[in-house]
Amino acid sequence: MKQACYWNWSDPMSGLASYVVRRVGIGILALAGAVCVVFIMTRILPGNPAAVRLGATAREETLRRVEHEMGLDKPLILQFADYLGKLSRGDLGHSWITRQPVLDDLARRLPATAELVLLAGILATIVGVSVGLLAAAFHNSWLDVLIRTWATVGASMPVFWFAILVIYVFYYRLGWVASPMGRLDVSVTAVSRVTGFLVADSLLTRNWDALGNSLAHLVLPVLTLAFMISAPIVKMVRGKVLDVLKSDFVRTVRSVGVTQQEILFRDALRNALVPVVTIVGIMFGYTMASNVVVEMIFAWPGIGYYAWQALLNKDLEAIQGFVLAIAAMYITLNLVIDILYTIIDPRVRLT
Amino acid sequence: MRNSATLLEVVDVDVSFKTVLGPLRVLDKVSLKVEQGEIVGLVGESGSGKSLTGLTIMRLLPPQAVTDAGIIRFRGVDLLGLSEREMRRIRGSGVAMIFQGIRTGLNPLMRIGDQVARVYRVQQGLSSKDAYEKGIESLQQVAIPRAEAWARAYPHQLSGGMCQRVLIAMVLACKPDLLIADEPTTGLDVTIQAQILELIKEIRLKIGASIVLITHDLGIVAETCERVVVIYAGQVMETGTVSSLFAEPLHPYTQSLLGSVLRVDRAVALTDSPGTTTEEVSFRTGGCRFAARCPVALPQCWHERPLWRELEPGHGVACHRQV
Amino acid sequence: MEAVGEVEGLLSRAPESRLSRSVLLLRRHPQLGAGLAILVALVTTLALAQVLVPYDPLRGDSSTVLEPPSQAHPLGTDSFGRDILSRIAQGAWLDLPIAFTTVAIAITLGLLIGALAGYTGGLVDMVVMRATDILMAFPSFILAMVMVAVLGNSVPTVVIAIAVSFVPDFIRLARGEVLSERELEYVDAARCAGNSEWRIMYIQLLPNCLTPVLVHGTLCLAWAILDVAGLAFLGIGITPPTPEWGVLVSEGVRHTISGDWWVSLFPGATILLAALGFNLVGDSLRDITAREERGQ
Repeated sequence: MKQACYWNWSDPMSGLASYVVRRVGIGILALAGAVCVVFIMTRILPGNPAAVRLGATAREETLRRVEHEMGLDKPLILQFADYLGKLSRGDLGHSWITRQPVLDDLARRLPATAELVLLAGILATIVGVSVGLLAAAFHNSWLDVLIRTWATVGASMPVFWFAILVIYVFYYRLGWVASPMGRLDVSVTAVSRVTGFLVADSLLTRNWDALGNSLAHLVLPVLTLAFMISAPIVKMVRGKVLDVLKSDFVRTVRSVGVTQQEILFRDALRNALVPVVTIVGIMFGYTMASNVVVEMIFAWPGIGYYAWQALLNKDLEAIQGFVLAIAAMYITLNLVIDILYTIIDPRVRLT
Repeated sequence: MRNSATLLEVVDVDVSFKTVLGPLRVLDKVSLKVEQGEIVGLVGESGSGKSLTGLTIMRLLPPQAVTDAGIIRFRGVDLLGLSEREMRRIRGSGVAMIFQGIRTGLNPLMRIGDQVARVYRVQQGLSSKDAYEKGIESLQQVAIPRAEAWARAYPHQLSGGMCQRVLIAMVLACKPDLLIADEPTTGLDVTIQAQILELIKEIRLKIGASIVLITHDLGIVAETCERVVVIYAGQVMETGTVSSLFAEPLHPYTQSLLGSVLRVDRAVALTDSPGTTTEEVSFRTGGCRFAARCPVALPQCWHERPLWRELEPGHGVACHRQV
Repeated sequence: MEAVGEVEGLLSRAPESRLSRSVLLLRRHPQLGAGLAILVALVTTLALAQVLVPYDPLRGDSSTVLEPPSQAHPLGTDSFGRDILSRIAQGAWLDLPIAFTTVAIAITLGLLIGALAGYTGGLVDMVVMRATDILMAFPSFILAMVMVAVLGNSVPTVVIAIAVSFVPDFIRLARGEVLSERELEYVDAARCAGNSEWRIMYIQLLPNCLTPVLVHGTLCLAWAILDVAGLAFLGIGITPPTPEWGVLVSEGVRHTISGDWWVSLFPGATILLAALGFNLVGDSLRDITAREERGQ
């Protein structure tokens, strides 16, 4: 047990700076490792990348030529050095489908994905936390059983099937939403690009047609993605809140006459949400995976769709770029979460 | 110091737990009395139901527990008949409880000053600022040094003894008429134990609260309490003043408990009670639950519950042998 | 609360016979019963399908194209006139074995490497941990996606890719268990008795993680099914005309948009039910083992 008397009162963050530095260092190492893995995946794994691109029927000379173009005839070390060099200049290679630099491709498509993922994430969090709290508050009632079932079904749901179902019901049968093709109908006036977020941009440029239309296009993909993301959130929030409600300190607080309502919102929610923050990193991975499928089904022009096209067409440099981008986002997110966690949970602060 | 008003009267309370295998009777016709201003010890081994008795009085039992029968009269009102809202008003200012599990009794994410202040806010309706100031006062009252600085600390930075003091401060803030202290000293080293017990005795002086001290430690009972209630497997075996019970224990269980305590004044062979409590609690009703472990059990002890007899004023026992 | 815990502790001691213990288990954990029921029902239906509805899943009949569910074709037919129930039943012979193989490989590799890392410590441990960290920097589905795309579309590559995405968790699990047991006295005793280090590592220490492996493994089965189907739907890994469940769903997409809902619905529902069954069983196993740990 720490001798609390000797703790440095004047500098409560004394341990924090060194922790941050250490953690960033680990993050950079992880990123370096990711770079190596991506390189290995596309060069060393069985299968000649040039042959993969050209297919089995390619002729010898074409194969040699493409190999030379791709730099595959150089020794591996040199290839790696080339690769690192390009990376440091921000060159992620060129997609042979779009003929554009991969970095540009990704940058141009990122807002579409971001709009989708952010909206879905916010919706899923709000709904997920509320529903999880509800289930815990009415533990063992029919509502709780219903919510638990929803969460388990959500975790077992194939996202592609759910999307098709949703399209069938809401577009085909009910006709409530726009056609599941992209972000905007061709007939609507294009929106001038400010942020890349259609909703924001159409608001800013007062393009009301586009606003309505883009929202109509957003509904189904956002709902689909949000449903998938909400399931693990519900499960976790419910579990953590139940744990807190059973804990000793809630018992203390209850014995001095605090209402159940206050307990739920002040103690249960706060104490339960702190550990929930740690799964944001995992949720990101899960979200991006579901997102690829959603973008593919709804023909959504984001990085998920781009990745899918690249995979189907064996566009190796594009695949590389995409994977690296995802890994970088993932590592950064985990880093931020870890640091944030030390700030919000006082128990972790002391070194 | 004692006036004759009975503060708490627990009469024939039955509590059972709903389980997959059927109802489990954990408290079987439990009765006890607490007069104004006295300290009563509730003694038993683990699993005897002493903590559950405290929780029943506070009506803080878990949802699978059911109070089947009995009356709990507090200041003349039957607590078991109250609605949850009415009971909530009694909790804290009427009856308050300190639990086992010291550090875990505090919210790890909140500073202790805020936690104590919260009690003032809830109980006395003070503003946040006033509540915080009163909170600091409470911390000073329970002998926490440099209270203003420590109020900004988190529970994991405190020692076990300090945590217990904070919990006591929170309870003091309620100014209860009756304080139930469940194993307040378990897990603390001996010197701290003594300090906490002193603190509890001071509480009686400072706010005039009566105290039910739940413990398994007879030494604490001898030192702190005026009267004792001995409970085994959910049944009350014997009650009496400390002096009469320790001098002349009437029930075989009490005798074996005392026999397992080393005494300085005379040479007594240490006795040992074979078997554990929990088998007794399982699913049997009817009869004395100590029968299986009793060295002097009679045939009727197994199926006939002995009647309560007061053999001397204030010293009662439930045993077929004491007729 | 301790008092409540003691009460619950009694219940674990009460019933005597094996049968009543199992009954008690099922009553306390209805999820387990539900999950097992779903899985059994699914497997039985699909097994019986071959008998009751004996159509060739690979050969089409142009006279019965795109028929809605009927007596002759309980789940309808697809655009080639193939009976969907038969196709789904055929697909089960792909999806389920793939899922089990994947998880088996992941467990074997994960436990072997993890135990080695945990027991040996030092450089080996560090290398393994860093490698695991790097692998975990990629979302598992995306990792699997890329591996299959690069390695080529075939069943073995899918199995390997998904297994690799599961391995890090099992490594961590095994390593954790071994680390915590490594310093205990019985290990020293075993060493004194002449056991070789390998024996200690794999025969003494490893069995401790059997329960968490069982729990996590069951959940991985559910994910494996979802991953395989997801990849197939995207056109990665298993491709038409192989009647894998995900492929079946993708075959039906364009028909759903034009109103023939059954082509995608039933295969997708099968995926959902299979994953649901494994998830329910896995969740209830987790609850049961957590309870046992608490001594209840």
